[in-house]
Order: sequence, then C-alpha cells, then structure tokens
Amino acid sequence: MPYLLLLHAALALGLVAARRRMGRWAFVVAAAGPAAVLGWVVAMAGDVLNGMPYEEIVEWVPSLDLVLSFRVDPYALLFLLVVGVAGTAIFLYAVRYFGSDPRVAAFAGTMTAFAGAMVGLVSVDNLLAVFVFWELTTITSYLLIGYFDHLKEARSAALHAALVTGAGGLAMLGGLVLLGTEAGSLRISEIVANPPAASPTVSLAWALVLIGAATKSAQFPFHGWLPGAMAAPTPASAFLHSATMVKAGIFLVGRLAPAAVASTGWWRGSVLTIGFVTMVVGGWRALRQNDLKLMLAFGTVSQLGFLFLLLGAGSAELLFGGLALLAAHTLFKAALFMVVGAIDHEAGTRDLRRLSGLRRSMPAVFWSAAAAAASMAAVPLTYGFVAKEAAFDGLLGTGLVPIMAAAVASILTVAYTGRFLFGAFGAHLEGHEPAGQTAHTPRNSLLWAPLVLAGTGLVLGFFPALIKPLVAQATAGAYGVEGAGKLVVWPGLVPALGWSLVSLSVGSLLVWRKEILDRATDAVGLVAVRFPTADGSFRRSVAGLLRFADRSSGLIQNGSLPTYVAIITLVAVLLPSTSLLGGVAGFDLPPTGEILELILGVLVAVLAVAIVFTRRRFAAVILLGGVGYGIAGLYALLGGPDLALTLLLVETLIIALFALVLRHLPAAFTRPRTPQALRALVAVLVAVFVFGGGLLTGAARMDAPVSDRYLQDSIPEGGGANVVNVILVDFRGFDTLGEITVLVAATLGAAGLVLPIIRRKENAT
Amino acid sequence: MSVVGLAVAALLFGIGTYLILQRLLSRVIIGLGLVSHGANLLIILSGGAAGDPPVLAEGVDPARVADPLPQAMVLTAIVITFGVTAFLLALALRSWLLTGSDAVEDDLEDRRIAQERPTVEQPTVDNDMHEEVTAP
Repeated sequence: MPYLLLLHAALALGLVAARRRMGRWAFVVAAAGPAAVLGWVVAMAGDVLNGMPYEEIVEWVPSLDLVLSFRVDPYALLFLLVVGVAGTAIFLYAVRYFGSDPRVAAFAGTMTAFAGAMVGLVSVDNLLAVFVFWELTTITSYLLIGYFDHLKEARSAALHAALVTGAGGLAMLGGLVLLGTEAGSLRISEIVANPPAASPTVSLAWALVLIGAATKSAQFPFHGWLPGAMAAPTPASAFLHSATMVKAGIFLVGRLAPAAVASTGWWRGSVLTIGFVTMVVGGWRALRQNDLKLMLAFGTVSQLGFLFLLLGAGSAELLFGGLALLAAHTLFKAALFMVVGAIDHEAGTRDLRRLSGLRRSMPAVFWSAAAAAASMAAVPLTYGFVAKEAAFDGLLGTGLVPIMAAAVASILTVAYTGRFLFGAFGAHLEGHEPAGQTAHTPRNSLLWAPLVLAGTGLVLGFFPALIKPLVAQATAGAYGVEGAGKLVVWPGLVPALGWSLVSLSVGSLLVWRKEILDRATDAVGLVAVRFPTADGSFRRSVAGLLRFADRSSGLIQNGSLPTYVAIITLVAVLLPSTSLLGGVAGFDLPPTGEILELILGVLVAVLAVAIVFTRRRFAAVILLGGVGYGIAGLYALLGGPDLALTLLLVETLIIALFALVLRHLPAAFTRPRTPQALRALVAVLVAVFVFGGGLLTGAARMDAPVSDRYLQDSIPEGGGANVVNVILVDFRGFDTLGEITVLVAATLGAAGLVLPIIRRKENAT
Repeated sequence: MSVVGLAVAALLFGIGTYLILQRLLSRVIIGLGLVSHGANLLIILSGGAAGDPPVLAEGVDPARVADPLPQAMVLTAIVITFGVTAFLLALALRSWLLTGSDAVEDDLEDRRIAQERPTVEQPTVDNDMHEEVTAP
C-alpha cells in the first residue's frame, strides 16, 4: 500500500515535470495509478474478504503517535475498488477528450495526485493521516476545478470549493483532535472498537467531524460548491462526482458512524435530517436545470444525500443498502458524465433545449446513456434497482417518514433522469436553435469507457452476487452483523418493491406528462426563488467577510501612530493581566522601605507629573533630568552605587544632547488637537498593570537567584571584588559587546541622519 | 522589592505611556525616557530585597549584598537607552529641519487603504442560479 501511494506521487510529479514533452497521452501513463489500485484490490480481495484485513504500519514519529498505519478491511476495499474502476475508465476516456493543450499533462498529473489522495484517505487507519489526505483532495480539486483559469466562473468555482471544503476540513481537524484526545487513541479501528463515553466535549468533537464530512460531501446547506465544480473539464467532474472527493465525506461518516451513534444521542437524527433535506433539494434543483452537466451535478447532490444518511445513520441494514448503492452510483454517474462530455465534445453544447436528434447520430452514446440512466432511475433488472431495493428494505425498518422522504426523492430522481434522457436525445425545444444534428458517434475511448461502466451496471443487475460478498463483509466488519440485507435480482412481493414501483411509476408519469411537472415546478419555483441559493449565500458571506475585514482594518489601521501604539499597548497589558488575575494566589505586601526612599520616591513622582503639565520644551527636559537624578539616588539606596554613578553621567549627557537639539526647536509644545482622556486611560491601565504585576510576580519567586554563583566566583575566577563589574566585563562580557555595538550603530545612524542636512543648510547660507 | 519603589516604577510607566501616545516627537522621546527609567527600576526591584553594594571588600557579608545580576543588566540598559535617545533626538531634529515640525503625521498610505472599498471578483454566471420562472 505505501508503494501504491508512492506510485501515485511519482506519476503525478513525473507528469507535471515532463508536461512539455507529453500531450494528452499523459493520461495513458497516469492510468497506471488507478489500474494498479484495481490490481491491488483484486490481488488482496481473497484475503481481506476471508477476514484478514490488510494491515501495515510505517513509523514516522512514534513518540507523537504519528505513525502511518494502513488498514484495508472490506469497507475500505469497496472504496478502493470504486476509485480503481472509475479512475481507470475516466483516465482512458480523458485521452480522447482533450485536444492538444500543452497543459493537459500537468492536468493528468493533478488527477493522479487526486486519485492517490483518495486511495490514501480510505486506506489509512490514523485520524491525522486521514486529515492530511483529506486536505490533499481539497487542494488538488481546487487545481482541477480551476483548470480553465482564463474563465472567471472556473476560478470562482474552484475558490468556492476550496473555501467550503477547506473550512469544513479545519472544523474536522478540531473534531478529530478532540476525538483522539477523548478516545485516547488516534487509530480509527480502536476508536470504533472503544467509542469515547458521552460528554459535551465528545459531542462537540462529533459535531465538528459531521460538519467536515457534510461540507466535503456537499450536504445541504454546503452543497453549493458541487454544481459549481462542473466548471472543471468533464473527466475531472466525472471523477470528482463519482468516485473521489465527495465520497470522502461519505466514507468518513460511514467509518465513524458506529462509534458516533454509541457516544451521542443526536448523531443519527442529524444525519438522517441532513441527508433527506439534501436529497430532496438536490433532486428538485436537478429538475430545473437546462444544462445537462448541471443537472447531473444536482443529481449527485441528491444521491449524496441518500448515501450520507444510509452510511451515516449507524445501522447495519442501512449501511448494507448504502454500500450497494454507492457502487451503483459510481458506475452510472461516471458513465453519464462521460456521456455528457462526449455530447459536449461532438455537438458543441450541453443545453438540452437545443440538442436534437442525437439518438440517430450517436446511437452508441445513446445506449450507454440509456443503460446508465436506467440504473440511476432504478428500473428493474438494473443494478441500481437491486441496490435501491436493499436501501429501501433497510429504511423500512426506521419508520414511515424516512421511507416516504426517500420515495419523494426517488420520484424526483426518475423525473430528472427522464428529463436528461429525453432532453439530450429527443427533439430540441421550439424557440431554441437546434444543435447536434451534424454530430457523429465519437470513436474509441470516448465511447467505450461509458459503455463499459454502464454495461457493468447491467451485468451486476443480473448477477448481484458478484458484488454481494464485498458489501456484506463490509457491513459485517462495521457492525458485526451477518446477513444485514440481501442483493437479489427480483426481491419478490415485499413492501420495498411496492415503494420502488410507486416511485418509478409516479416518476414516469411526470416524465410522460411533462406539463404536470412544468406546472408544479413553476409554482414551487415562484416560491423557491425567494430563498437564497447556496451559491448566492456563499458569495454574499464571502463579500460580507471581506467588507468586515476592510472596515475593521480601516478602524484599527487608520494611519495614526498614537492609535497604533495605544492598540499595541492595550493588547500587551490586557492579555497578560487576564491570566495574572486568574493566577492570583495571594501575596504579602512588601516592606515600605526606608524614609529616605519614600522622600526620593515622592520627589521623582512630583517631577514626573510636572513633565505632563509643562508646556515648555526645555522645562520638560530639565524635569526629565531631575527624574533621572532621583532614580540614581534610589539606586544608591537600593545597593547599586555603580548604577547611580552611571545614571548621573548619562542623565547629564542626555540633558546636554537635548539642549543641542532643542536649540533648533520652538520653545513651547504646540497644544494637542484632540482630547487626551483616552490616552490618559491607557496610561492609567499601564500603570495599574505594572503595579499589580510587580506585586504578583515579586511574590512568586521560587528559585534561588543565579547570582549566588557570581558572588562566589567573582574573586577566584574574575579576579575582581566589584561583582557588577566582573559580570559586565567577564561573566556576561558578550552583553557588553552587544551594548557597545548598539552605541556605535546609534552614533553612526544619528550622524547620518542629521549631519548631511546641517551641512546643506550651512552651504546654502 | 518595596512598595514605594514599585509605585514609582508604575507611575513612571503610566506617565511615560501617556507621553509616548502624543504626536510631538520630543514628548515621545521624553516619554520613552520615563518608561526606560520605570523598567530599569522594576528590574532592580525584582532582584529582591535591597542590600549592601555587591563589592566583596573586607568585612562585607556576601549574604547581605544586593543581587548583582539585575544591576549589571540595568547598567547595560541605561547605556543602551542613552544610545536610543540620542538616535531619536537625531530623528526629531531631522524631521524638524526637513518639515518644520516634529509632530508625527498620519500615514497617508494607511489612510488611503482604510478608505478604499474591497473589490470582490464576481463571476458573471451563477452556477447555482434558480431557473427563470415562465408560468404566470
């Protein structure tokens, strides 16, 4: 398995590197990836189905629990099979689909990376590794959807998909980390075996995971990005809609559902609700599209809703039906997308109002479309029917409401399938310019890939036993239940058949009597148009976010230096003080000190306050000097004669410097133009913070001072009795070196700033 | 650490901050000087109780001297503050000589950015558009 992933990575990088020398034939090379997956699945199927899951652990950072652990059980094997089959067919199809665009090879490389990410996602057993592959699909899908980067729609659709699934991925990361902490393990198999006990934290974790899965699988209300994603070239759409990306969310809910149901009370209800709403909304929107590809895209949304609830509900019966349906969906959806691609390629449009007479001009395409569509509508004797029977059978056990909702969605599915088939291959609508009469049946792989996939759907319809062991074993692996459902060509007279037939006949009625449907959709459309679309809401929220960012940064970054300093100061004061307040353990008031200290302190305070009120520059400088001398006195009192001396010298020098500069400046300060209350407030906050922080930290000393060693070593090692001097020139000599460097730099800088101007002025006069 | 010293340090911080928040560069420099004094004092205070000068002459009890390490650091800091003050004074002087004012004016570029409205790329086609309704 690691080698399979390496193969994908190597293919992807190689194709991107060699893109100038490879044209569309790059896809033949790229097809080696999915084909190898397919081969691996076939080779491992025997062992895995006999209860020996493939397991391998690649250690990376074992101390952080970062191990790449692979675990392929029947459940993962089914997803691998889906990726392998759809991938191989779609890659070979893409060879014919593309012209001689030089970027095609890079596109093929990206597709391979995409496929590899999906393979990794379903076969790893570590939550963090799942997340890494998850994000990899997000990034590669962004590149794939935005392939036509000269089109605004493609760029915006790619960004939409990346933002929605990326945000969901971040939510999921939070959920996965919480989940791993609560469960005490990051291994999926262990979490499913020992789900964490119910608690608010665990609930939050599951909710975040659910959001992540829902965004990835385009569940309501996050479904808006999926229809937009059809801006990608058809092979990418086909792959993304049928086997990868959207199936990642389904995979994860299916994988974790047993644990989630065990440790929360609301998971099942939420998944069912999300799934049903998505199903109906998707089906409804599909009915109202004129673009064949968009119609299929909304159809995918609808089908994903169904799969989401079947796999996520956490029951063996539903999982059985869901897995059967998942395989069916891959087969027919990939085939139908490729059919649309062929139509688009040959007729130059995908507008069903304009397409006309394609049944005669493209018979082979028509028959593959018909076979795939029959499977999608669950017509008896197709595999879609077999799978849907199993799903209905499972739903019957959950109650009347779910089965009725599923039936409504199925009616919509039948209706849009009919609309697809008759729209694409029937006559064009009046008032629209017809297109496609001159189209001819495309050759080679544009044709056989959909034919093979659609044909497989028919074969499995007659021989569902071919896939049944895989589905049954996957269900048994998740819930430990044998015989959760059955896959049979004809179920006999059971209630599920009744629901199937009702859906089928009402749906067919809607196809046959189109005017009923049109009237109904128009009536509902009048209401529905008042509600925001998912795409529209997304754009409004992004625009709103940008506006908010703009306003807030306009407010904070307003160009005024005092504002910036005030904000920085406030953050520096308020953030630590919250944690200081939280950590107050009580403190003793330190001693007041000597009376001389008090006198000097009062003197310094008075001088400092006077600085604020004086309006003469020179007076302010003298006062500053006074403060400095006062502090020097304090140092002398506190046991630092060296400090006192240095400070006296430095203060004197500073006064001299100021005097040199103030010579040029006006004598008085200009009055500030704005009120000073806010500044004073910030200043008071700072003072309170320093005082309080000093008290608390002064009381918090717990270790012996390091300077004990300096005191000890000063004479034997430094050869000096003045410990401060020895520290400066010996123990911490490099500090002093740095200090001298600063002085030199400041001197050079100051001279460079002022001297040229003064010289220029002198020359001028 | 003594309450008086701490109060002085806090007061110096407060007044220094107030002055730093002004627009006149010369007041800002004075404010910075005050904050430096406050910070240095705080470092000394954090060294523990006051004591004798840390000079190990005859008859000095090493247990009663003040902590020498903060003193060494503050000594360094005082000199560096001096260098920074000199540099800032040069800046103020340059500003005065060049513009006739030592006030810090608003950053015009920031002003312009703050007033600009964002432009969001909007595609011409809404891929998720409701179809137009034809019936009455």
